[in-house]
This record gives sequence, structure tokens and C-alpha cells, in this order.
Amino acid sequence: MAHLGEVAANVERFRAVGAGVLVVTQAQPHILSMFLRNQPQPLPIVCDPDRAGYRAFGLERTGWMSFFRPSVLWGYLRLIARGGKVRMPYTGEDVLQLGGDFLLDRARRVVFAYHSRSATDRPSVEALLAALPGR
Amino acid sequence: MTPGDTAPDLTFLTADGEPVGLSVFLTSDHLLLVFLRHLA
Repeated sequence: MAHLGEVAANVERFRAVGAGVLVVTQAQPHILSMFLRNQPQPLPIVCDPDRAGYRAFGLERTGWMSFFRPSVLWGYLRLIARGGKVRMPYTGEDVLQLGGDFLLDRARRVVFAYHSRSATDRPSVEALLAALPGR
Repeated sequence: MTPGDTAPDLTFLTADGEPVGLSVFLTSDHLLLVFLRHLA
């Protein structure tokens, strides 16, 4: 299951401990609209097509050769083994853009930051829950 | 952005193309903000 699927499947666990969830995509709004018609999600997703948010949070672009690193190939194999699919980005999405996961408090202060170092590098849901203050 | 930094109140777009601020979603004690590589 890709990261969105893992987070979406556990969204109620985050809400139960006082954490909302917001997902940001670099896709254009009409692409997101089409995606949500085909795959409704239990959490809000917003678009950042010019990737201003990605830059503000310091999320880097990777290089093409990084996709051939053993750790990245292994990450894709694990995804496939769990029933996930490797999909190509939609039009306008930068395939080299890396993602990240952040926990903010009400004042928009960052209390946890995870910048992905490769295409398959993501924190687990358990690690994100454990990073919430007071847990 | 690292722990202790304050995130700017970024403006995103909804699936309808309407602008929406990050702060609109700060309705709980905490917010998990997930930047995807790409949809799917």
C-alpha cells in the first residue's frame, strides 16, 4: 500500500488522539478531482501545483539514478508484495519531487519533520503516531 | 522546515480550484501534513 493508502487507512487513529490529517499533492485541481471521483478518500487532499509548499518545507528533488538504489528498488518490491501498484505520475507532476511528513501544532509550529530521502522513503504510521507530543 | 520552526500559512487549491489556507485545517491539537510525491 502506498503512503496515502496507509495514512488514509489509519486516519481515525490520528483523529482519536487529537490530530487532523491533510494531504498535499503537486497535481493540478482537475487531476485531483478526477482521482477523487475514482478513489474517494476519508481525508482532505489539497493541491500545490507550483510546489511552493514543497519548497517552504524543504522537500528536495531526487535524481534519476536514485531509482536504481537497492533500498529504493527494495521499497518498490515491498509495495508490490503488499498488493500495491507502482504508478506513473499524472501530467504535470514532477516525478523527481520527494515528499515529506510533518506534525504541526495549532500555532503552525513544527513538532516533527520527516523529509523523504528517496522515492520510497517514508515514516511508518506507527512512527508518526509515536511522534505526537504526549505519546 | 525542522522542529521548532513555524510553517507559513500556505495557500493551497481544493479539487474545485478554490484557494484554501493551511490554517483552515488546524482545527485539532495537531495536524499531520503529508506531502505526496504523486497521487496514487
